[in-house]
Amino acid sequence: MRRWSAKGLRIVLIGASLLGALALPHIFPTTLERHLLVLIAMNVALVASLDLLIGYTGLLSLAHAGFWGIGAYTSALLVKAGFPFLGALLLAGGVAWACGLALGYPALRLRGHYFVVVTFIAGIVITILMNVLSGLTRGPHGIPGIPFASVEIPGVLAYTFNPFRDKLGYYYLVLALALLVLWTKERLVRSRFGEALIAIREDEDLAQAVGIPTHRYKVAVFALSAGIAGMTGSLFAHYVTFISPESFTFRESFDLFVMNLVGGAGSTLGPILGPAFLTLLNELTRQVHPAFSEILFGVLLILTIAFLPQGLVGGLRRLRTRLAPAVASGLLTPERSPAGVPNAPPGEATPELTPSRSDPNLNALLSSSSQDPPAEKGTALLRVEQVVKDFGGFRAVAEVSFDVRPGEIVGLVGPNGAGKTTLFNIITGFLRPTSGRVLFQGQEITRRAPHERARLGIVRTFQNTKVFPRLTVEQNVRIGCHLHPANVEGRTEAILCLSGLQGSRHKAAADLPYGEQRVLEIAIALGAKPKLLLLDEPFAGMSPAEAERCMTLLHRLRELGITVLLVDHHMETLVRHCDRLVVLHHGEKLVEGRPDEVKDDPRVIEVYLGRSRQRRREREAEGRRESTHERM
Amino acid sequence: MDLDILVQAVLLGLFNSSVYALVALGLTLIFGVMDIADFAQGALYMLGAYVAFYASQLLGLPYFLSLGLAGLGMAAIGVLNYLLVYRPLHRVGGATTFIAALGILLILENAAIFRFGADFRLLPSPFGHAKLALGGAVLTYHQVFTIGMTGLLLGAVWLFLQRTKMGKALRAMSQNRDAAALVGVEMHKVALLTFTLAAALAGIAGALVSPTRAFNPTIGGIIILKSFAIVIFGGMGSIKGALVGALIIGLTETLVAAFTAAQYSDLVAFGLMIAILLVRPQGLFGGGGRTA
Repeated sequence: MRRWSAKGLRIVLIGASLLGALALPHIFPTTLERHLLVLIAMNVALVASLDLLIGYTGLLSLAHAGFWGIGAYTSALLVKAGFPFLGALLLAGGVAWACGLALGYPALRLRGHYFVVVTFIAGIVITILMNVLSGLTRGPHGIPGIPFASVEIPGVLAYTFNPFRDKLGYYYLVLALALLVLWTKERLVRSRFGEALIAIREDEDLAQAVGIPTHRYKVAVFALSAGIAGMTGSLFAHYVTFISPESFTFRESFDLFVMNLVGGAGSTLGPILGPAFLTLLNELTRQVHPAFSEILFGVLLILTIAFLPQGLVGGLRRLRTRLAPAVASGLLTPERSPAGVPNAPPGEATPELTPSRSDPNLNALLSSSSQDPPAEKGTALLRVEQVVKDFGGFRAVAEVSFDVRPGEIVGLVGPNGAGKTTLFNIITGFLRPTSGRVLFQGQEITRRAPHERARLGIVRTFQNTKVFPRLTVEQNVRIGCHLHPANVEGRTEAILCLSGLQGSRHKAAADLPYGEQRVLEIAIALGAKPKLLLLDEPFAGMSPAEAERCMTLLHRLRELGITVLLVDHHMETLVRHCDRLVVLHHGEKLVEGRPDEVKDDPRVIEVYLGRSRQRRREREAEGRRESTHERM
Repeated sequence: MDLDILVQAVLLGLFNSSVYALVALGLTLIFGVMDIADFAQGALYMLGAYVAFYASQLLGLPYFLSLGLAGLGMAAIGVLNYLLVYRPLHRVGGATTFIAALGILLILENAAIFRFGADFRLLPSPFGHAKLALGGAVLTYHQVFTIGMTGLLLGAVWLFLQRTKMGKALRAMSQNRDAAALVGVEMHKVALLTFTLAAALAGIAGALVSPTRAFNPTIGGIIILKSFAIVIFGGMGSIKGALVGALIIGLTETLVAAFTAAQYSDLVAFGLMIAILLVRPQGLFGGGGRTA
């Protein structure tokens, strides 16, 4: 019942805000006030599209004003040449979308810093091009006398939006676009695609590891956002009727960025509050001195980053929590679960899906191996052939070959810096080998991307624990299920049960104790229906009891038909639990065999007990190198 | 191709490069040590020019003294930036800090517009308008002085980095922050030093150029972008890269401007920058492993 009433409340709120938005120009009827409303609505559309990047995908872009300008120029030039407005509006979006695609495709291979910087420079290059391509754009003189926007459907409707006499009409025109953008955004971020975007924001490597084609998704959302900015640009051009490169400088991009951050990135209300508040503030302070508003924007930005990282929306939420702690949901950053599932209040019963040990469905829910023809005993599930990896002059992996057969638990063991993690990265596609091949079920996969390998059934965890930190445990597992959209609810439940994480399902992953985070990693991986699960030092940092529990889980997984390859440097743990061990030393395969054989092998004993100081130093150097490369 | 034009372009390019080298050196040091693309350095360059202007025009100080004053004043602002903004924000991560740096740039730039107005100014050079003829090409004495001063400053910084304990700590920090911290380099001290050094260099650069190029509060944005292009070009964090990059970009610009149209020189610089970022983000002299 509570959920229904929350939904009802939401509908009422949305209805009221819609009426409010429609009524605003009548409450504030002067020309100036209506002009401000038009600007706010435009900024809402721009910031909402930017929020898809900044708030939901974690991509900081400073090229937004550039795409906005591209749309403005496209539409202005087309309509001047006699093209109908609506067509020009769509084409403006289309051209900006294409430019977004062209920039995003190469640029989104970069991460963090480098991406922001590329968008920053790209934004500047766009304005330079507007100046330089004067044959088309008239350079710094700009384009004057842009025709009014007019909508004509012969026999039905003909309306011209005169921005000078009819601010009301223009407001409704821009409002329509802004609402469309907000609606699209809400739909999008609650879809499977949106869920994947949030996963990318939280941890891109992990998203890739569970099969999300991160690059493709990032390019798609970047181009979409650019396209929306382009359409807004069209409305801007026909509103001001004069555009020049000056209107679309870096400063505009920066202001949009500040609006998004100050309003609250990654939320529904943020991209409305931010533009409304800052557009008004801008207008007020500009009258005192034009430099004032920029100073204020800069100060607000820095203060927001430092003290209110969730922006105004986050501040309001905090206030609400303080005023009415009973009502506050205590949920995560985005107000509803961003993954699209309404978080059931803890009291509410969850569907009874607790699978018992003998549940025949569990196999089908967790693993895809049951759908495959039963593998012949003895054929390799994974085959590593003569794999070599050089980092500069340093050989991290030297001609290593081994097989993993279906249903085995294989341990990859070796001292720190032996090349285990490098080999792991090669098997899962995070690194390309210098030479050699990797085969999975007889198929060569050496050059496949990590997300493609996940699709085939190779799923991994990471040495330095990776979870989606700000999402709840349940959402974490749901995102793990991204590859297989059928019956996500049921599988999520089954996995939560199996891993014993039901009790923590509403906790943020970052708040879990370390040992449970490591179990959650495995739970996330299970969502991708692995045939081969690769675990990178799963027991590191676990208490003995936790490690024991984790090992029981692994044996359970084997019963379910999942093959496990795990890396560790603690010989004892692996000896007790693995079917077979592969020992690496200095990047070479030292020994391979049954645990009892391996543990008594003189070479292994030599490596594990006879460490000279010199060697240890070498190993440490390698370890550093390995971990630096892992960060790439 | 006209030889005189070529020689003139190369000489001007050298002058151009020395300005870039000073700013880019500071930028690359900060990037190496703190992982911040500190665009606020552009504002310090601009303010350096204003300090020199007011010190010599209003207070009547000799130009050479006002150079030092610009360096000192900007070092103070640089340290303030670090203490008030970058240090508290360091945990938030590089990309956000970059945005904060842009925020500081805008704040200082607009504060300058508010205080000094947007008019262009030019400081009279202590050398007057005297020119030095080198074959068919001509440089003003002030430009020659600037190139010389840059050489001195770069040499001093180089000695400092190579010979002193703090300098070595700084280099260690920029090569491997974690390892440096492990062997007991104090992050905070080194960061303070780096910001002082970089800000002083930027301030002096601004003051050096103020008699040659007319300045107003918006010049910081352009110079920092170009310097950043240079830092990317040479490899973020690489000192050698910054100096070689400054030379290459400075010369390319004047050559492109001399033989095509001036408006294309920016396009070439930025185009080069994007291309390098996309193809080889670690730059010409950058090591691997810094792409994350």
